[in-house]
Amino acid sequence: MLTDFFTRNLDIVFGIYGLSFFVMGIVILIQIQKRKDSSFKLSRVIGVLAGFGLSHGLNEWLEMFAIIKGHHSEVFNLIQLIVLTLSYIFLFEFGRRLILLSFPAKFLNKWVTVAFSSLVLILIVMLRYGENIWPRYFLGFPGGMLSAAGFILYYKSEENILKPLNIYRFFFTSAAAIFVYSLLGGIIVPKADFFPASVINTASFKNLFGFPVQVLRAICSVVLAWSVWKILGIFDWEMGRRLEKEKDLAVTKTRMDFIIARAAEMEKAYKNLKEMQDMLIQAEKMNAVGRLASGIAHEVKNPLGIIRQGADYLEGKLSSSPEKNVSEILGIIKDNIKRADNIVNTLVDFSRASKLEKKPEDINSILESSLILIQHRAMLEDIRIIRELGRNLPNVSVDKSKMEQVFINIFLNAIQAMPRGGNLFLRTYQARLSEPKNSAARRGEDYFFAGENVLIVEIEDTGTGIPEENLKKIFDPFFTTKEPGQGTGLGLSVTENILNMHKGLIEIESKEGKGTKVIITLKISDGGQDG
Amino acid sequence: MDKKKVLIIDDEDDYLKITKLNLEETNNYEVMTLLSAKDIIPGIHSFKPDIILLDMLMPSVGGVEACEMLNEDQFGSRIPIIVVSALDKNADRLKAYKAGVVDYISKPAGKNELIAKIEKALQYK
Repeated sequence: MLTDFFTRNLDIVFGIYGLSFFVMGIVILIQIQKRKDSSFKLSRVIGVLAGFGLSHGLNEWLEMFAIIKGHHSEVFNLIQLIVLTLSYIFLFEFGRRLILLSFPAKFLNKWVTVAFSSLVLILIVMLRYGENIWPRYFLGFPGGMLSAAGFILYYKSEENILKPLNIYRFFFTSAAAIFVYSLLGGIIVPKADFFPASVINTASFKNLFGFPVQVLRAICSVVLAWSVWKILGIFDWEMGRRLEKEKDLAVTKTRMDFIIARAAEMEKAYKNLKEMQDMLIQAEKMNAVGRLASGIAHEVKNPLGIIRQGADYLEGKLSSSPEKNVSEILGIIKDNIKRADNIVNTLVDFSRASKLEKKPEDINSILESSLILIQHRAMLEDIRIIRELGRNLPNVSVDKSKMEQVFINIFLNAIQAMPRGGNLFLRTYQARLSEPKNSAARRGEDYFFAGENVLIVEIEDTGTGIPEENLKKIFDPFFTTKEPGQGTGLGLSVTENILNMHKGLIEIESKEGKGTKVIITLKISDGGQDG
Repeated sequence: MDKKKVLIIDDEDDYLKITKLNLEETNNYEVMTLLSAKDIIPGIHSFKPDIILLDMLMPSVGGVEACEMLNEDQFGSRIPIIVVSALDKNADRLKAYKAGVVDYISKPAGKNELIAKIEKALQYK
């Protein structure tokens, strides 16, 4: 019954048989196109199995075609023989390469395939009979065995990855299917008059089991195609894992970006805080110095008062003394009382955070009134004062006497920098800032912003200049390059302090041997209400 | 010409001694000194000064308090006062002027400055 059915419908069996191999080949080709960069070594050889699937599928379809047409022409037989041989060469080559992936079998080099193929070719050409038996014996059977062993070995070599995956069992079903198939297709051959084909052949199989061997071969081909299709799932799994990794990486990168951004923010905040802290410390220091200075001032000025009165008394008594040193020494005493008094006064000025008495003032007149006090000395030192003062300048809201103190300080420094005379340039002009200006110790709201209209005062001398290493320190309290007794080192510190109180800015540019330029930037008066 | 009587009140003994010498040396002044302002009222009544030189910062009774005491005294309120102090903040000056002093001299001041200001103050007496 079953025998009759299969015998009558052998074309259908061959159809399914061929289709499953063909589908396997197509599926493999599609997969390897997508998985060129897979880390599974299987991807390197699976293409050869596709070659087997496609060519062997074609072979079965040719068989089906022959059954349907019912004739076997010479050309047709030749084509079928070529296709069959080729498909088994693919199978042999696949098995050989699959084993080499996990087992370094040196003897299984490409010449083995060449040798077996050549043997088959020679047998076909020389013997001229049993043509499609030779490829089955010498390529199909060993090729199937190699492939079956290859699947097992490959699984073993990648067991740690494959074991946890459900896919792993399909290596065994593949191995089993190809093993059985190699027996059914490679040993059970068409009947021939030589051993073993004379005994073990398709006819004897049919007699023994009652159905054609092609039925089992077809089942094997379906199982193999299905198993291989499942095995190809490892590439999908790998792809999924990669995507996950990439996603993880993307998440990590986003997190890193976030952390970096936060770190930058924190750093900025820390910097601001540090600046603020420095400012507070500075303010606290100034406060302390202020209190100390006031105390010191009182305590020092009292004895100075006594010494001064004493010196005056002695002067009255000794002015007629024949000793000429007496009056000189009294003069020195008085000068030094004045010097000590000056130091104390500057210290008090420096530390005194007195409230400014700001009024809208004409900066040129302040410069002029400051000049009165130093003009005489400048003349003596052979210094020419060159005015390049702007006309119709807007008023600035300043404390006049404090600004005079600022200018006098700068003038005196300039004069001291020009011991052999020179030029003192005074420039005033209005400017629009192209970029914001500030100094480290300033508060944000006091910054000059880009585009702001400001008043600039430049005081430039042609003196000795300031060495670069000193430029950074010139605003530090008590920093001085003058001989002891010539300066307190507070002048520029007081100057900067006064300008800070005015929300103004002082900058110094200097070149040794060329001179120094002091640039003062002031906010333009808004009616004197900003103090 | 009658010598003008100058009362100097300061907590610095040395200062009093030398300033007294400086003023008396001119032969224009008769000087009395007090180390504390707390005896200022009996002092002016016994000495009858034409002018008072007053320190600001003194223990127990300060310059401003001394001024107030003088202002409350019929005789004392007519004596011109010059402050001679080591304090020279504007606020200190303002306090002194508000208390009724005619002038304010910062220490260390020389003999000539002292005399010039005394003479000027006496003109307005």
